[in-house]
Amino acid sequence: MRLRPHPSTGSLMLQLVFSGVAIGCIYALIALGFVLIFNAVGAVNFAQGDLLVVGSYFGILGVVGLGWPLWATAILVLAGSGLVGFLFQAFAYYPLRDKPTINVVISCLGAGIFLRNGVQALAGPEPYTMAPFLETRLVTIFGVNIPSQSLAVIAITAMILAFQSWFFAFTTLGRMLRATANDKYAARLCGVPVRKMIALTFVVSTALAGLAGFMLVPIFLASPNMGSGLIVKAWIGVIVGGFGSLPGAVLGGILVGLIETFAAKLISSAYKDVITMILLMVVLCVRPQGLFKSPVSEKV
Amino acid sequence: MTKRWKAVLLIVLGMSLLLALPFAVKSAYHLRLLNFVGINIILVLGLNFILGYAGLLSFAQVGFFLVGAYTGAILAVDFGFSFWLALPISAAVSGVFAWIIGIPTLRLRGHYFAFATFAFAEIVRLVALNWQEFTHGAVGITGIPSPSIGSFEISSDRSFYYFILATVVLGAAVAFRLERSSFGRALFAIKEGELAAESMGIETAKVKMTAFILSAIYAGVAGALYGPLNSVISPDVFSFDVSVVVLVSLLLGGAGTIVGAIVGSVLVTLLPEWLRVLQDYYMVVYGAGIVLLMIFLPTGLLGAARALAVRWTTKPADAAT
Amino acid sequence: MSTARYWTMCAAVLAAAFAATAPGAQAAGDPIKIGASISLTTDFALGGVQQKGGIELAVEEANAAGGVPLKGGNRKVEVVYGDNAMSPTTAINALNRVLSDSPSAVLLSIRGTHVLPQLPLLQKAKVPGLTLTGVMKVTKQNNPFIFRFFPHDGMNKPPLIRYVVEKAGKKRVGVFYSAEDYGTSGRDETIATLKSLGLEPVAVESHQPTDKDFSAQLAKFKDAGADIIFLQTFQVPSALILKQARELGLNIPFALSSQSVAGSALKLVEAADIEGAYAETPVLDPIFNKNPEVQKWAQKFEKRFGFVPDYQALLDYDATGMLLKTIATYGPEPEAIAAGLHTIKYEGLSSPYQSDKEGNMMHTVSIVQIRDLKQIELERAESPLRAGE
Repeated sequence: MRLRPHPSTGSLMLQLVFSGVAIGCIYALIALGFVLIFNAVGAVNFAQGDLLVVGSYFGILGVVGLGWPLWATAILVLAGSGLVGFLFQAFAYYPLRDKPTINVVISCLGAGIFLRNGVQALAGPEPYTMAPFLETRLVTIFGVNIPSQSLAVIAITAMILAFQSWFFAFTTLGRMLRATANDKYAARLCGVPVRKMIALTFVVSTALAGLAGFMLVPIFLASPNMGSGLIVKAWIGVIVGGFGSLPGAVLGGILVGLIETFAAKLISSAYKDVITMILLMVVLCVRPQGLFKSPVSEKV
Repeated sequence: MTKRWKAVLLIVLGMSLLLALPFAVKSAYHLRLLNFVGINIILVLGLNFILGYAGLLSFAQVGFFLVGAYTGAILAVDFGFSFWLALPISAAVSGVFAWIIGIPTLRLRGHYFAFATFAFAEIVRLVALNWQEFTHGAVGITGIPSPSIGSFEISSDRSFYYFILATVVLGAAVAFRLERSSFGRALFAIKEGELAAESMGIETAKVKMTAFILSAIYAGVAGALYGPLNSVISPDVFSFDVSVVVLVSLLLGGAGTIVGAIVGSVLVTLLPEWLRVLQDYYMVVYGAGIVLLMIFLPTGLLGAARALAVRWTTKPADAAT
Repeated sequence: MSTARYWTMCAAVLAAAFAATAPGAQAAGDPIKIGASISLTTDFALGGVQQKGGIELAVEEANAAGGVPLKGGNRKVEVVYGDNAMSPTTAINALNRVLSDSPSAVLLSIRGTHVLPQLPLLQKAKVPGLTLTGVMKVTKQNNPFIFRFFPHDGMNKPPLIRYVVEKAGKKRVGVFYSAEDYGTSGRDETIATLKSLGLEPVAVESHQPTDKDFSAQLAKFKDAGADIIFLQTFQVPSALILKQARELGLNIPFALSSQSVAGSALKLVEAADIEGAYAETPVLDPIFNKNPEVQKWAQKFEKRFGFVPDYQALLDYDATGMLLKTIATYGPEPEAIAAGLHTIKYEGLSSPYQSDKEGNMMHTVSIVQIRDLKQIELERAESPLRAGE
C-alpha cells in the first residue's frame, strides 16, 4: 500500500542505526568470551549462551535475591561465573582435549543442557527483570532516544576489546595463552603451564560471559533459555567478522545487528533471520576467513 | 563354516525377535516410541555417511528431515498424491537440496561446514514457519493420510512398526553394502586425511557430495514417514534439538558403524523417557549424562563393547600365565 | 566369538533400556487417575507450572473432601504428569505415557502445536482431553474428545477489535505477532475480524520468539501511521516490545492478548510501558478479580505453591473441577466422561462452562484496560462465533 512519509522518518532511520549498533554490540560482547576460548584451545564452545545465562542469574541472585548493590553483585557475578567456568572446563572440556572435535562439541552441548535446566530447576521458569544500572534511563542525542543501559553495554564492549587486545599482545600471561593455543606441546616444552593456562582461559571467558549476562538483564529480562537466540547471532558475527579475530568479532557483531534491523525494516520482518542466515552462508562460501580478517591458511 | 552358521542363526534369531516385538509390547506408548526409534535410526544412518565415514560435522540432518516431511505432507494433503509416490519424491527433493547446498559448502572445513549446515537447517525451518500459503505456517499441516496397500491401511502403530522396521532393515542393508564398497573405503580415506586421499586418486569432492546426498535421502525418507505416523507436522518438530539428538545418537553408539548408529538411536530416544521418573530434574541429568558419555565412552558404546570383548577373551590367557 | 557376545550384550542393553521405560502397573481399586500432558521444563514451563498449580489445587481439595463421590463409595484422585517440554514429538510421547496409566481424562497444554498431534491419540484411546490453547484449528478437527476451556482466537479477537475500533475510534491498525502457532493464530483472526469491519491492517509485522530487539518493526508501524498495534506474543517478547516502544517514543497504544496482561507479565514492565493498553483475557487474573471467592482462592493458591496464580491456573482449576463433577455424575469411564462433558453445565469459580458442538466450554471474554499495572474490566463480552460459522 502507498504510505505517506512520516515527518520524523529521518530521525527514525538514525534511531534504527543506533538500535542495530546497540544490539550488535551485545552480540559482540558475547562473542568476545567465545573467541577467547577459540583462540586459546581451538574449540568452539557451544555452551557459551548458557554460561551467559548463569551470569544473569548470579546478577539476579545479588540484586533481587540478596539486595546487594551493583558493584558487590558485579563481583559476585565475576567470581561465580569464573568458578562455573573452571568447573566447566574441568568436567566438560579438559578430559576431552585430545578427543575429536565432535566429542568436544557434543560435550559442550550436553553441558549447556545441564546448565540451562539446572538454572530452571533452581530459579523456576519465570523471567526476572531488574532496574537499569544508571539513574537516567534515556539519553537523547540528535533526536534519538538511547537507553543508558545500551550505552553502558557499548562502553563495556569497547573496554573489554581494548583490554583483550592489550592483554594478548603485551603481557607475559597473554603471550603464554597464545603460545598454548598455537601449539600445546611446544608451549609445554618452553615451560608454559598448559593445564593452568587452559583453566585460566575458561575462567576469564566465562566471567566475561557472566558479566555480559548480568548487563543484559535490564535490557532483555532473564529467563533460563535466553541464551539460545543470542548465541546464534553472536556466532554469525564471529564468522562474518573472521574466526579468532577480536576486532573482527566486534565488527561482525555490529554488522549482524545492523543487517537484521534493516532487513526487518526494509525487506521483511518475517524473513529477517533468513536473510541473516543467507549472509552467513554467503560469507562462509565466498570468504570463509571472514570480512575483517586477512586470509591465513588453516591449521591442518 | 561354524562362524557363518552362527552369524546366520543370530540374524534369524534377531529378526524373529524384532518381528515378535509388537506382540510383546502392548501399550501405544511403547509402540510409538519404537516407531520414533526407527525414524531416528534412519536419520542417524544417514548422518553416519557424512559424519561417521567422511568425518564432517553436519547440523543439516534436521533440515533434510523437515524437507522430506513437508514434501510428503504437502503432496499428500494439498495435491492428493498417494504415499507411495510422495515417499520417493520426498527422498529425491531432500537429495536435491543436499546437492544444491553441498556445491558451495562441502569444500569448507571443520567448524565452517558445521555452521553452514546449521544455517541451512535454520533457513528451511524459518521458511516453513513463514510461508503460510505453501507450508500452512506455524500451526502446521494436519490430517496427513496414512499409507495403504490395496485396501489395507497402515495406520495403527503396529502396522507402522513393520513398515518402519522394513525401511530400517533396507536402509541398514544399503549402508552395509556401501560401507564395504570402494565408495565406503574412499570415505574412510577422506576421514583419515583429505590430502592423502586426494593423492591416492580419490575424487574427494565427488565422494563427499555422494555421502551428503545419501545422508539427505535417508533424512527425507525419515521425514516422509514421520508425517503419516503422527498425521500432523509443524515447524516446532524440526528444532535444533533434533540435531543434538541425532549427533548424540551417532556418537553414543559409535560413529562410523551401522550397529553403532542403531544402538545409539535406541538409547538416546529412550533415555529421556527413562529419566522421566526424575521429574523436574530429568533434563539436568540428561545433559550431565551426555557429557559423561563423551568423557567415558569417547568411541561410543560400540568401541567400549569391543574393548570389553577383547579384555574378556584375553583375560583367561593372562590369568593362566 | 566376540561378535556373538557383543551382539548379545547390545541386545541385553537395549532390552534393559526399553524395559526401564515401562510405567508402573495399576491395580484395581486404586484412586481415579487423571492425566496432565503439559510443559514442565523449558521456556513453556512458564504456563505449565501455572496449569500444574491449578490442577493440583482442585485435586487436593477434592481429596480433602473425601474424594469423588461414586456409586461404590468415594474414590480419591491422583494426577499423572507427562512433560511436553518444547517439542511436539515429546508431547506425543508424554501423552502416550500418561494414557498408558489408563486415566479417566487428560489435561493438555496451552500450545496448539502440542495438542494437534495429540488429538488422534485421544480419539484412538477414546479419552477426553481438556486444553487451554487458543489456536482455533484444535477444535476444528471433528474430534469429540477435545474440550477447550478458553475462548479461542476466533472468539476473543472480535470483541476486542470491535471495542478498539468502534468505542475507542481506532482505524489504522497494525498487527504484530510472534512467529509461532499462538502469534499466527492471533494474527489470522485479527485480520479476518478487521476485514469483517471493512478495515485492512496498515502493517503486519512478525518477530521470532527469541528476538530481543524490535525497533525495526516498531519503526514500520510508525511509518505506516498506525494508531493502534495489536500484539499477540508471549510474556518476555511482549514486555520487551512495550518497553522498547516507550523508549523509542512511539506513542502508539497497544491492544494485547491475554498472555501480555497476566499478572506475571505485568511484573516485567513498568507502569508507563503499558498504561492505557487494551487487552482481551478469558477471565480477569485472580489478583484483579473483585469476587471475594476468587480472592480467597488466590490467597490459598499462593500460600500452597509460593507463587501468584494467573488466569491459566484459574482456568485449569475450573477445568479440573468440571472434570471431577462429570466423573461424579457419569462415572470414571473416559467415554462416559467425554459424553458427559458435552452435556453438563458447570458453574466454575471464574465463569460458567458449557460445551458447544466443537467442545468449546467458554463463550465470554473480558475486555480490559491496563491502568497502573492493574486489569480494569471494560466489558464482559459474549463471544458469538463469527458469521458463517
